[in-house]
This record gives sequence, C-alpha cells and structure tokens, in this order.
Amino acid sequence: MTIDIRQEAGHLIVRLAGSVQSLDAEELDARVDALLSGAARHIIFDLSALEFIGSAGLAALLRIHRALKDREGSIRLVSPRPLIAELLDLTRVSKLIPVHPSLELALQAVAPARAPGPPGGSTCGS
Amino acid sequence: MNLPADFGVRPSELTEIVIPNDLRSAREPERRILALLGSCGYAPETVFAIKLALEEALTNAIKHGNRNDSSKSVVIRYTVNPQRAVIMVRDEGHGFRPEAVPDPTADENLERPNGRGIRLMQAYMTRVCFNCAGNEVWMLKENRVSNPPGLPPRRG
Repeated sequence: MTIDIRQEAGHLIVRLAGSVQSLDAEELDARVDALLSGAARHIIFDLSALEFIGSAGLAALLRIHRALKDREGSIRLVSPRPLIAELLDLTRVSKLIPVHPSLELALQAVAPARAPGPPGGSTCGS
Repeated sequence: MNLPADFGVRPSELTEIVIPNDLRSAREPERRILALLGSCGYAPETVFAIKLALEEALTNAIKHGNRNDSSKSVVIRYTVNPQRAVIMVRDEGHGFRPEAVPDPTADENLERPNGRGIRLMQAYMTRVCFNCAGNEVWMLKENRVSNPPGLPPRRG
C-alpha cells in the first residue's frame, strides 16, 4: 500500500495505491488520525490505483466518514476500479460515502458556492 | 469439523501450514495460495474474491478468535486446482455464532466499522461452512465466472 497526500483547491486529496489489507489498515488508521487532527472538513480519496481493500480498510474509511460528518464535512471516493466499486456497493459503503467518477467532479461537489462576479465578469485567459 | 464432503476434493489433497498469530505472518499462506491461483489461470475477479475471503478469515482468526494473543497459532489447510479452491482457517479461540453477527448492510449498522468480514466471505465464495464452535471455517470457490449475490451485472 502507498499513501500520497496533497492539497488541491484547498481540500485534502489522499491517493491510495496497491492493496489495503488488515496490516496496512493499521498504517492507514495512523495516517488518518493525523489528517483528522487538523482542520480538514473534506477529504477526497483517489482510488484509481487501488487494487484491493478488505473490511479493515473499509472500516478506516467509515471512521473518517463519521469524524468528518461530526464537523459538517465529508469524505468522497474517486474513480474506484470495477472490483472495488462492486465491493463498495455490496457493503453499501457507497450509500454512505459519495463515489465520483473523477477528481474534478468530487472537487466541484465540495467547492463552496461562488459569489456572483462583478458585471461583465472576469476573463479566464490562457 | 472435517472437510465437507461436497467440496469436491479429498483430504489428501490439502496442504497444511501453521502460522504464528500475527497479521504479518498471514501474508505467507496468502502468497502461496495466490501463486497457485495464478498458475491455474484463475480470472482476476476470482482471485480478488478468494484473496478477500482469505484476508477476512485470517483477520478474524488472529484478531477476534485468538484475540491477538502471540502465544497462539492459526492453522490453514488449502488446495487449488483448475476447477476449485478450498481453504480452511482454524484458530484457538472459543469461536462465535456467525448467525449472531448483525447484518452490516442493514441501515442501522451501516456506519459501524466492524462486522463485514463474515458477510464478505459468504458473498464472494461459493460456499462457507463454520464448525459448531465457530473457530474453524471451510471455504469453497468454484472457478467459474459469476457475480457476487445481490450485485448487478459487472460493468465494462
């Protein structure tokens, strides 16, 4: 298992890769504790490189879900592979934790509502 | 509990391995069984299912059955052929009643972090049998393309 954590658009992005087995879940729990000790309200897990996760890993995700819900935030999952997506559906974890097909859509879902711009708006140049 | 007669293998086909009661040691039987699945040409989704069930059975044995007691051991017996994989996991604990484990997919239990292991074993394997005490589980996976029960057809 590898865990990469970065910030994007003010939100924490956690990229899980490889296998999250029971032994790995203990490390994931420790990393999660560190994340939750901060002020983060929304954490997005990029699962696009995740090949395997067992119930211990799912338990870690649910623990984050509960902690962030208490601070009116959310955890979101992005781009799970088909076997992982089936597992999330079978366990109904996907009923509690939103699953998005792309990081862009997940970021849109947690982005704060934007105030209307000035008349004429601004120009996004390239 | 003996090997269930309808699992389609003979006791003499089973290989036994005894591991110390820790999660790191649990990697060895997994490595051996996954290697056999690969050599028998099992499809990735079937390998995933067996890996998941084995992971859950070993974790239950080490953490719940033997209660993380490092003086205890876990016994694994297994055989893999192109038609089926059979795996037994036994701990030294007092066991439990699988039917007493709350349904983790019920609305009231969804946020509970634990209790999914048994359900996953039953969903992903063809058959799962516990002994009367509940400290020994036999699992059968037939090598055929199928969906876990209760799931829509696979995408893609």
